[in-house]
Amino acid sequence: MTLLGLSAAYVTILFAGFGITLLMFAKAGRLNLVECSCLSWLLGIGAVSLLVWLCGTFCSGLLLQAVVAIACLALGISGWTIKRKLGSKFTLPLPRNLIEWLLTSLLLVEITVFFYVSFKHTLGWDGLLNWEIKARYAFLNGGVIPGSYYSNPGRAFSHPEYPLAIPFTELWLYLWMAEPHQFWVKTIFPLFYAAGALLLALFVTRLSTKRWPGLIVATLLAFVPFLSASPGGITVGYVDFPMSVFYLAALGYLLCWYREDTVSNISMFAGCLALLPWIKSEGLILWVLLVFFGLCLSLPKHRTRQVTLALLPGLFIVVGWRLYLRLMHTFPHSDFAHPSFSLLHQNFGRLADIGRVFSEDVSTPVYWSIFWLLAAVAIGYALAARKLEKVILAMAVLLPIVLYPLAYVFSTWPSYTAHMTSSLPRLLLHVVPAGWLAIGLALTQPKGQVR
Amino acid sequence: MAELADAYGSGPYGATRGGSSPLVSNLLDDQTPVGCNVSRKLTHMQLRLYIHIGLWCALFAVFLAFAIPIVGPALVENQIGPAEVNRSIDAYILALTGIEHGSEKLPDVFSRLPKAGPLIIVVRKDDSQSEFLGMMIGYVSWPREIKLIKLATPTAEKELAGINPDSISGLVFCLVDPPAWLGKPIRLGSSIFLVPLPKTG
Repeated sequence: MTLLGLSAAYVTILFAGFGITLLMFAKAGRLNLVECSCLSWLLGIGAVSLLVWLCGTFCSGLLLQAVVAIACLALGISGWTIKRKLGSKFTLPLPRNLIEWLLTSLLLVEITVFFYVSFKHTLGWDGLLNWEIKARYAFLNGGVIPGSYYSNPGRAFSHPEYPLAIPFTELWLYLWMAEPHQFWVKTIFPLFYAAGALLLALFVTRLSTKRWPGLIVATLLAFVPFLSASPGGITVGYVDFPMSVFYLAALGYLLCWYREDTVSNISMFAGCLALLPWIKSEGLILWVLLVFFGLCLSLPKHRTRQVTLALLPGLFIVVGWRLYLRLMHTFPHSDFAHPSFSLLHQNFGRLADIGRVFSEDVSTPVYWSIFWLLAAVAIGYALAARKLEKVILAMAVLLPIVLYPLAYVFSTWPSYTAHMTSSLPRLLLHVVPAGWLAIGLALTQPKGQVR
Repeated sequence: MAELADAYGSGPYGATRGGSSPLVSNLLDDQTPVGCNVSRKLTHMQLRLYIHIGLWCALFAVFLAFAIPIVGPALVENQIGPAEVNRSIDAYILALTGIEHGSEKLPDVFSRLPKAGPLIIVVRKDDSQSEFLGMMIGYVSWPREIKLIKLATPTAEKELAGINPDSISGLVFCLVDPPAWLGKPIRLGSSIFLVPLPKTG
């Protein structure tokens, strides 16, 4: 029964996501099946978690589950109907030569290994006490987090202010399994890896018009030690990797939109952008950066209106969540102080230590091997190309790496360096797939420059 | 490169096209530096391409050389399962306190405490194990209200002195010895004590 429930939960998530994907891609004519599957997962978890949260304000229990399930089915059916009406066709891009077959096989093996490994590990500290805890409490209360959870200072350690995309995806699985099953709930995280790696391959292929660099970087992604072999990686239920996948997807579609001005590209950018602050609070920083990049790219195309419209869904989510937390009298989080110029002036002396800890962190081979060196070289290539989209890509990797450490100027921990050591690597993880995107595009660059 | 220079400068190609006409000959002579430029550019491009390929191959090789010895062992450690409902929480509680199926046993114990008042969880400040266990207790004691007290000193006297025993449902000490004046504590696990009905000393 548990596995049947788990399957039903996945079917509803993917059905909702597939519907939204088809609605956005309907006019594209040809639909890449791999791309649609990845987006079905990303948009599906976004849709289900938002629906559970919104519907949970007026119903709970079996009714809540039924309402959300019907909405998922409705989204799937609408997408399919539109797709049929417009006559779009699915295509499955198969490998074309031995190297592509080898790399694709290796990628599939890696995805399988991540599923296997995730079953071997328990949920990590944050995975359990920041994220799963919300799913469990909501499950025990008919699918709705009780108001007392938000306002109880004793449970402030679990960050009640953190958004609910991942906890409510876990909750959806719990509701269908009819028990808060901590073993099976971990299956959602390798799916993020699968979606992220495949989208990475797809974006590099699309932007470089070559498939091999995409497959190479997608295969190498798993070898970043922090991703696959650390307490903050894919297999332990942290949301940092899912967040990095959304960042990659939003950035990728923004760059695709700059190259090919289609409604589907900008819609997908809007969808993935909107979900960034719904995954983790730090997603707001990435959201602001992407909005800025979007506006930069839209100016030469005279398409600022499109980008302005694209940022609205995210704005609604950010404002809605903030309002909800206020209504729930959420106990204020205390890791960071409210930024102000006086505090900046007061803590300015921290910058030297922050720089030292940052450089120590990025040069730790146990976490990153030499990934950041590769990323730095790729950034160099992108800047040397002197093309707007390449410069934006370089900035999309560089700016979060600069902004994240600077946030510790406002850390309220007694030891801000300890705060950095414990959380900075996870923040840097948000940029890793985007870094691989830059690396993948750098691989094919010299020919393009000469041309 | 030599072939290109030959084709435009002298030899059969030039002879066929222009013969010995001075005009054509001059034109062809002018082409020679262009050919050289092209060949130089091509050489330059090839060199850049070789450097590019060499650079990335070397970078990827070093990346993998550092990564594989870290990633490989991490992937093979541990075994699958058990596929139990409270797999994660039980594993942590077992490791920290020695209590098996802690996610069921501990709430069962807490359910016997008075309903009114928060459960006070006492942990040692800057002791990650103690703090983590305190959070675990907070996790499993839901929906009871909790209050975390972090002790900065070795004894809990000062921090507990201000607590009104009538306003709380119990005290849980995580890797902290309860003060003697609270009465005899109940040992729940190797490093966790419960004082159900605290009494002032």
